[in-house]
Amino acid sequence: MSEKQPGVTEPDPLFQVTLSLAKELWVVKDRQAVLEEVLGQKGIDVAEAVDTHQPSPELAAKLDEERKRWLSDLIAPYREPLE
Amino acid sequence: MEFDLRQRGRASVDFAADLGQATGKLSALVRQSIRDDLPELADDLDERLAQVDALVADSESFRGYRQLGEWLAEQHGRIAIDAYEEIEEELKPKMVELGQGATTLELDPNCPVPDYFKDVWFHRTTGGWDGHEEMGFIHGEIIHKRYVAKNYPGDIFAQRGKVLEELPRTDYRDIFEVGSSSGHYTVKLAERFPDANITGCDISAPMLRHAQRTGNELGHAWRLLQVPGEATGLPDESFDLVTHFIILHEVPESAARALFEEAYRLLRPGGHLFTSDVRAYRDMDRHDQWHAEYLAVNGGEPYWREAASLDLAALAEDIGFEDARSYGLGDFGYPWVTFAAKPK
Repeated sequence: MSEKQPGVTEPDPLFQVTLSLAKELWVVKDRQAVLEEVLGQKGIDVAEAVDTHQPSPELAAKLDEERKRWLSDLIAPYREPLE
Repeated sequence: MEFDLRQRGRASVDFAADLGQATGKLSALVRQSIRDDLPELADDLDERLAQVDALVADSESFRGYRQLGEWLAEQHGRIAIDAYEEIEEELKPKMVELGQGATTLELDPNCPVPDYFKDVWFHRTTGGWDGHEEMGFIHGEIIHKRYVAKNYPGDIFAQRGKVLEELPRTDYRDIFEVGSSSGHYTVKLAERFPDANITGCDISAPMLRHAQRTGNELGHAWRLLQVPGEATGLPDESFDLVTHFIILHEVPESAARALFEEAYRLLRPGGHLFTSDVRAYRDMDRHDQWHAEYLAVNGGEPYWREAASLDLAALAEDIGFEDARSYGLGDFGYPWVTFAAKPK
C-alpha cells in the first residue's frame, strides 16, 4: 500500500512541526476556556488557585507521559525518515 | 449517529477544519497570482505542472500553501483516528446495537481486492480505507461531517440528494449502489425513492459496517454486500437503476469501463445508469485543470486525471447504453453527472 503518489509536496519539517505545535496550543487554549467556564458555573474562580497549585503525583505522572508523547509526535517529521 | 467528541479530539478536528478554510483562502490568492503571472499554460498536463512549479519556485506564499496542504493531507486522518479512539468505549454499545436491524450486511473475507484499492490511501487517509477497524465511523462521521463538510463549497450532503432530481423517474423498484462507503449517498437514495429496494456494495468492510449502522439508525432495510462493483455476482437484469456517487475518480479507466459493463448486465431493459463524479476537464479552463491536478497529486487521488479526461457518455454508449449524456451542475460544474439508459 503506498501513501503518496509521485509529485506530491515534499514536506518541510520545520513548517510541519510549527503547525503541529499550533494545533496543540489551540487544544490547550480551548481546554482552558472550557475549564474556566465549567468551574465558573460551579461558583469557583480558578485563576488564583491555578497560579499556586502544585500537581498531585498522579497528575504529574500523567503530564509526564503526555509530554513525552507530544514531543515524540512533534519531532516525527525529522525522525520518521530515519526509522 | 449523534455523539460528542472529547475536548482534545473536538479541538483538534476544529483546528484542522479551520486551518483548511484558511488554506482555501490562501489557495484563491495563489491561483489568482498564477493566472496573472502566467496567463498562457501548456497544453500537456505534466508540462503544465512543471511550468507552474518553475513560476512559483521562489514564492513564499506558494511554499506556505504547499506546506499547509501537506500538513492537512498528512494529519487529518491521524487527528480523526485519535478523536475516535478517545470515545470508542462509550460508542461501542450504540454501534453494536445499530449492527442489528432491517439493514443487512453480507461480508466476504475472500472478497477480491483490486489493485486500485489496495495500492492507494484514498485522500491520503492514514492507513487507507481499511486502515482502521472503524474507518467507516472515522471517515463518515468525523472526517466527512466535521472536516470535509466545512471545507467544500455548498452542502456536500444536500448535493447527494440534489443530483437525484436529474433522474427522469421516481418509481424505481430495485436500486443498486456501487461504492456505498459509509452510506451518505445511500441515505439520499432512500429519501428520494422511499419505496425502492436498495442494494449497496463496497470493497471495504469497515465502511460497510458503518453504512449498516446508518441504515438501521434511520429505519431503512438496505441489503449491503462486500463485493467489487465490477464483478458483483448478482443476477442479470435485476435492477432498474444502477448508480454511484464520486466513485469513478477513485478507479482507473479500465475499472470504470468494467463498472459500466457490469451495470449494463445488472439492469433490466429500459433501466438507468446514473453517476456523479468530478468535473470533466473539457468543461474547465487550463488554470482550473492545473489546480485540480495539483490537488489530486497532493491529495491521494491517482486516478483523478483519468476520470476527468474520460468521456463517460461516450463510454456508456460504446458499451451499449443509449440516450447517454454528461453535464455539470451548479456554479462549479460539480457534481458532473452522467445518465444513460439500457435499450428497452
